[in-house]
Amino acid sequence: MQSQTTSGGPLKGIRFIGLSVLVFLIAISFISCNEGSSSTDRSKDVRQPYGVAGRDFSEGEIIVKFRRGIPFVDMMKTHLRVNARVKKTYKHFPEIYVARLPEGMSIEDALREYLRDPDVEYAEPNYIRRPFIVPDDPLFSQQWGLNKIDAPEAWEIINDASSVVVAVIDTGVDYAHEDLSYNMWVNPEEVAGNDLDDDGNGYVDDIYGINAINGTGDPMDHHGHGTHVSGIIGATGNNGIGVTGVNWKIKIMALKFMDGSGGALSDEIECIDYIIDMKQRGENIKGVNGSFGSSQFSQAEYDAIRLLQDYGIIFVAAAGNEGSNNDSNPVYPASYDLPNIIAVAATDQDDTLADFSNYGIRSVDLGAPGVNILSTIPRNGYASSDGTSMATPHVTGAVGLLSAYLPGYDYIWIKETVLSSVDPVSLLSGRVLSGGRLNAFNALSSPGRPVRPTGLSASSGTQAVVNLSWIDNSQIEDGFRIERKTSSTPFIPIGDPLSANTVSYTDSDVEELVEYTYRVYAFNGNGNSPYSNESKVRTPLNAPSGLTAIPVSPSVISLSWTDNSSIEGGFRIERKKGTDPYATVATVSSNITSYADTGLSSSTTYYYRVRACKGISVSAYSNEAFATTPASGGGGGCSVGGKGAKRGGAILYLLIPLIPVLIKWIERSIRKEAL
Amino acid sequence: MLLIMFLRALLVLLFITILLNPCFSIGRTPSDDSSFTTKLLLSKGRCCTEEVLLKHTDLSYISEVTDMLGCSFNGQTYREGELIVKFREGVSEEDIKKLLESMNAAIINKFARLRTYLIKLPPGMDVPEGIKVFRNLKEVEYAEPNYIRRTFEGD
Repeated sequence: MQSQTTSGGPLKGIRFIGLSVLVFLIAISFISCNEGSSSTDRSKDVRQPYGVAGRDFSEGEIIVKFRRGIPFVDMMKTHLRVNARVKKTYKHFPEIYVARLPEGMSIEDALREYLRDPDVEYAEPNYIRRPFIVPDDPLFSQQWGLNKIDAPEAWEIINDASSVVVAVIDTGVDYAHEDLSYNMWVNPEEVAGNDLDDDGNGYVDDIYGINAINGTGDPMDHHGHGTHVSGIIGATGNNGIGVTGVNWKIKIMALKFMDGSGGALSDEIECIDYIIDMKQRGENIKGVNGSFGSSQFSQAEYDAIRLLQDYGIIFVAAAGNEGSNNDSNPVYPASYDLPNIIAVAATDQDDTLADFSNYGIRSVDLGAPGVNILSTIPRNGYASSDGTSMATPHVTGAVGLLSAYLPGYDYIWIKETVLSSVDPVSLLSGRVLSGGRLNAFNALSSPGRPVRPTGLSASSGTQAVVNLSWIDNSQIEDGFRIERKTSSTPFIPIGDPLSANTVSYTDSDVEELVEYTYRVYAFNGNGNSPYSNESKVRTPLNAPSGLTAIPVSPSVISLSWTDNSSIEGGFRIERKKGTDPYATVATVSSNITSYADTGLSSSTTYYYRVRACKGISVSAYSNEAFATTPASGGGGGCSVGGKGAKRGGAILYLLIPLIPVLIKWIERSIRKEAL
Repeated sequence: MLLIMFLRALLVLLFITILLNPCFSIGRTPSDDSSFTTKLLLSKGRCCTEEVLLKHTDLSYISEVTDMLGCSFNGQTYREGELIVKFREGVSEEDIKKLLESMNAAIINKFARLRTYLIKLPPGMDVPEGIKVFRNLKEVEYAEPNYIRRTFEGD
């Protein structure tokens, strides 16, 4: 079943919310309870048109849903205001109308007009649903992976990629297979079976590709791996035989460098050399499938794939089957940091990462079906197999379809389209860069969106300000948008959109002691990327600052500080002497910013620090301040007078802390006067 | 299920072959779906072994396979006696040939669009030693082993 609304909206998230609102409303209309306010609140936040970038909706019509309980007359007034005619109503959905727009009004304008009205809960294009195309290949029903990536929906858009060549560098291909022979690339300059190197490229009779192991023009597969991989990309579809590939029609170039289960790099490079030669000769090679690898870095292999990049060719590489993290244990070629490489992990029918599959939030790009995958094997056979080897050609196949559908897209745009159109899967979110599993239909129906940012991290210091940083994974974004939620508010955008290549943001508009959750997405004219990871941060109580300590007598030190918090319950003052640990000497209530510490010893240095507190929460400490009490004056003879003097002095000293308050009061009145 | 059976049969076979330690052997076990799991271990040239696993109904296929097998590498990370070498820009093929001749090494293959060569090391020189020697040459941009890449099918 289709899991997405059709066609690319500019705001995917909003579309999703819209869909969930619809589902929710349908649900409550059956349960008939009186809620709906929660869903309407959500849609309030996103009152802008969506979903109009695609092609698949009826011209001149929209669907409008009014809020529950709006009188019939008011609904009619709204239609009148827009000058639209009611085309259809529903007995059991009395708030829903199909509205026929006045001549010349665009769908976008109409949606905007309707959404301006607070009575309107949502308005959307009248999308067109079509039956999915199911090919007549008898084994198609067992190919769960194709349904998973929404291939039948994709085939409604395009299923013929015969203008595109993809190269399979592998164990060769059984080019005579009943379900593959039709889709083999054929070297146009070579005459079959004449024992001559007609095109002068060094290989005799290289009709379908080459065998780099023995340097011949015969890439026949005697192992099975390459034939299996090729069937996933492009077993002939809708031909009444066997299985179907992601592409019903495509041109598969067979390049053999492995036998058994391995092959030497030198032979792989020979295959890439051949690809580049053929590209130079004008063959429309768009993708290479690399369902192989191992742990050794090779500069020569890197250079070869780098050269493919110069020719605009995407290299789709298997992430590997060790069940390990490629970010820490790289597997090559998947782990080369090259923009034309797409590294693929394997997922199963439940969209779980296969237990054998490698992963890596930085170095593995997306998941694709790779467990129990049915495809072609040599000698007209069909068999199921597991591996990132099987996941990879699903992606290569999608690259083929996309390249045929969007011939103007270069490799960056094709790659970003594949990565930004995944179905987000929570289990993959922290495991692969795109956070999801391949969806060929999404890619075709809303192409050209940017890859999502990753590695979002939100943090706070001593003050309630949130610092955000993330990784920009896209080369085609126009900018970024940050969304924030709390336990009581849903995700809503904050601030203005940020410009392209921004990788950090400071959110100062936050309250103290609140847990915020952030997420970020990239956007461009084609729409939004999926969301980054979510990052949570609890803002602190703002720490006091500017603590000063002034000795005012041999036994009193006066403290004052700046209160930065607006919600503190009080301040805790701590003191220490020498190498003693700090201990609390007093707690004062909120908005108090001074304190006289009495009963001190003379000629002693005291250290102070202050923190705000509220309930069990405390702020960070202020700066540390210190002061040394003066020596006590006078001899024993005038003890009474001394005492008296001291007492009088102490009262004076107790007033000293009030000085800053007084100054503040004066300042405030001056300011008031100025206003 | 089939795959597990297949792998199990494979393991048993591997164990047997290790026990018998053959230099050349062809083993065959019938599996439950009336096809056969076939394992070939053969030895060519400098005693490098190639292992091929087949599951097929037609045993005549084996002879085709044996014909296709090159001298290869089982459990190795790179191919013995070979290096991938990229020479610096401006070093002519003539220079390269002369240089290799003087070292008693040879060109096996050449990847023209990458200025990169597959080199046969002189007899008696192993790969780590070869890397040291070639990396010290001023004509050489880099030299690396001819690593083995493997398929990612099954686990």
